[in-house]
Amino acid sequence: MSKTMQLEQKLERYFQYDQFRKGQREIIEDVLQAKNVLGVLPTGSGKSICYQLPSLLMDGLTIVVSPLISLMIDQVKELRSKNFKRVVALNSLVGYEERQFIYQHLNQYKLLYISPELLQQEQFIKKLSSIKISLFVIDEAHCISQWGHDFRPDYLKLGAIIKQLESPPVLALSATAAPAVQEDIIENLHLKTITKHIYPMDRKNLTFIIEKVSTIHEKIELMTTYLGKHLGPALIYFSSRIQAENMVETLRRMMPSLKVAFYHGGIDPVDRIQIQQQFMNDQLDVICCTSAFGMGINKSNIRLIIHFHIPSQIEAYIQEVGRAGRDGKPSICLLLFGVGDIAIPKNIIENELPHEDEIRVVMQQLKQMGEEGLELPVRDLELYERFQISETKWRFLRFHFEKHGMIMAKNIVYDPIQWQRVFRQLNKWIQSRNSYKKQELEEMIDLVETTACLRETIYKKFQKGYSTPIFQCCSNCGIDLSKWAPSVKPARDEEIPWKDKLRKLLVGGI
Amino acid sequence: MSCLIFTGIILTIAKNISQERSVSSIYNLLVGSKNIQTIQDAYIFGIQNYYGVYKGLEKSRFDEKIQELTQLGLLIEKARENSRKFIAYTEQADYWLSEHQQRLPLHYFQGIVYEEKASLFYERLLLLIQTLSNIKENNFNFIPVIHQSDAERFVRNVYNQKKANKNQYIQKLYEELVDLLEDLPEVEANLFVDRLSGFGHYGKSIEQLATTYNKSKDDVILTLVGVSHQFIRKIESEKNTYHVLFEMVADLQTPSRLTDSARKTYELFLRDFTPEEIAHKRHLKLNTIYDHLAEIALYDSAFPFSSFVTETEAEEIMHAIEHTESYKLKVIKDAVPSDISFFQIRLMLVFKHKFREGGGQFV
Repeated sequence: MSKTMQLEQKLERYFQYDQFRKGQREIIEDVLQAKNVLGVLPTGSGKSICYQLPSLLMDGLTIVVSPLISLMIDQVKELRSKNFKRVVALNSLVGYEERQFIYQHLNQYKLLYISPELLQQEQFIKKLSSIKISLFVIDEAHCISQWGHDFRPDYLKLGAIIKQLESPPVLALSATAAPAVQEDIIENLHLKTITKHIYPMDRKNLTFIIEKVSTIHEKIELMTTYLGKHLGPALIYFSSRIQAENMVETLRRMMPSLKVAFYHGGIDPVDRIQIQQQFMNDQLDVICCTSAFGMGINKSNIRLIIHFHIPSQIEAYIQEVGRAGRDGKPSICLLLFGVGDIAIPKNIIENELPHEDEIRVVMQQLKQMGEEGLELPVRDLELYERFQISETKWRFLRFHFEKHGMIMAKNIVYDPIQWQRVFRQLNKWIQSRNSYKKQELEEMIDLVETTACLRETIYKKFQKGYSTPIFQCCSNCGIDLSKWAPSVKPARDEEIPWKDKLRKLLVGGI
Repeated sequence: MSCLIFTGIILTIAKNISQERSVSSIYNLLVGSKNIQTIQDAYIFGIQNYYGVYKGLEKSRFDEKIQELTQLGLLIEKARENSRKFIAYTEQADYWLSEHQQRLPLHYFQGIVYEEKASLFYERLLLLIQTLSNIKENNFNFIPVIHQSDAERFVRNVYNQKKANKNQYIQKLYEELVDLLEDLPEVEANLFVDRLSGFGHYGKSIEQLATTYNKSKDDVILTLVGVSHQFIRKIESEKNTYHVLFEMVADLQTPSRLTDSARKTYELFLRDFTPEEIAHKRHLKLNTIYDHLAEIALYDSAFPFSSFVTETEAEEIMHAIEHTESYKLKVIKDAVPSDISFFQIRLMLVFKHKFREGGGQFV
């Protein structure tokens, strides 16, 4: 039996898929030969199989660094539901006792998901270096690059950590990494050799439509028109939680036959799963959400994705529309754009990283704490509340202060010249980061303004050319919606008296 | 959208603390702050049933609610003291409460006893029902709604123990649940069941329940908590009727609320060390030991109040409490001879509470 056949059998046995999707086998074969691999695969192409299958076939523990806690939890749950039990996630939600338990039993797991923050702990790295690491995976690897749309400073330390772990084979995965980002990833990981597997990210079954409107009423009208034609699973993206929530009420009023709910990072953990799974389970038609929704969502028949607000980068846009039509059938991506819409992402960009005066205040306070001989508290919360800045801003600053030796473990090390220099450097860096992000936003705005083919404009940064679309291309090439007839059945969720419902759940039948 | 339960609880608490404590003490009570002051206040003011009944309450939502009740004239904002906000309960609030009392399920709540137990019980129940419902259909491929190790462990154990006669177990569970739910008003029973997930079905989110039953999200959450408390009370008092459900709570202890440090002090105290000796031994300030003793006094039914307060002092303090009509330490302190300490006053407040509950004896 050939080697590839064997792999396919393993895939079937462990994950119940009968064949590999594009790119998966090529990456897995290289990974199994202990090569360092950079894989760029479009969203929805099953990136996680590229390490989940090898983790079972290799001797030792596979570590997966993942930036999103909810994504980690979902993956672990999904694997466990497929009877892959030797998997565990370590993140800030895991309590002290459980964390200790995991530390003690590390060698019993095959697959460990971990947040980059937790991987920074010296004690834990020591623990890890005492066992065999079969593979070190960096999911969402564009987070390593400051040119990636989701840059995380904690990711920058991964290169050093890999070395500390005696350089196990590395697999860096991303769905959106333009060539410049790819170079940055490789450089920051300090890898001498790496095999690249880059696949085109265009999706031939997506039709891109951009509609410019002058009022919010027009937006709502267009949105309901599309939803009315479609009556099946759809996602509507908003740039704020509150707007997603409010639109649910509006939609329920205007389109009572649709089952609508909202999802964002602020909802209760049980609700998060219930809403997600109601959608998967066809109990819901439409989810109004923020960008927090969708990572790891694998619903194949989403036919319509509406952006009620403009995303802040093409990368984010590609990732979000990538959730449509995973089954390969024609699907529509509608972007609604109003005149005032640029203000929101601009504002988000300007407030993501600390401002100059915020950095000054934090440094002054730190200096004072140092002079009073105070140690930094164990919990970061106490610090950022004291400095009155957001957690993300503090994490960003802390990373840089540690990098420049201004904070060493719990101690504050004051040196006026050094501190001045870091202050200037940081501000300069933040400025360049912000202007980079604004430039990204400009690209998004250019997309809205262009009269050229949208498909070409969207993908040109990543690749030359694209496959011929199977349905209609885009609103600039000309579309005829009367031909769009997605056949999906609307969600059902019956209302029956509690006793019948409970009997149905537990005893079965009615 | 009705928000009666949340309003009712806040007004009841405000009524009981009648300006003696700041607004944030109400918040601390609702979220179940482990702060000893919060727990002591809960007993002193007789509002322990609402301790920890709304753990996920966000401060901003709470502030918004207080503002809403103030605008409705049910509460009045009083002058601030060192940036702490005080509120008073109004006559209108009294009217509101007497009008709604009958319809509010406030008697469900037994926060101080059940808050922790109830949330564990509820998580276990959600996961157990989802798991059994799926297993019965031979489906082992579902996404659990609870990701919490206590519930996971519990359900795993049940599964292993009852595997052989699982149908019988499920039938029993169903019957016991029906029995409990039948005692509830129709709306509450529907709401409770609508939240449940099982084979091929995922339950409603808080927001979906709120829309379906035209209640605020606060009231949905409080209804679920209240119903869980009510269930546990029934299950525990009729163990023989609720055989299967009792197994779900039997191993859950009502947590001892003594902090670890107070517990160490308590051990030494039981070995007859004086507060000074304990302070010395533990390298702690004497005042810290007094804090611990006030905490211990709440839970130790044989606490020797008379070792710390003479009968005359006790009378002085009780008299001052009645006279000033206040539970504020500072106010009471000003009304008693200056050699009486804050610690002695705190002890007498605890004693007064215990006496009212019928459990205390001045020994």
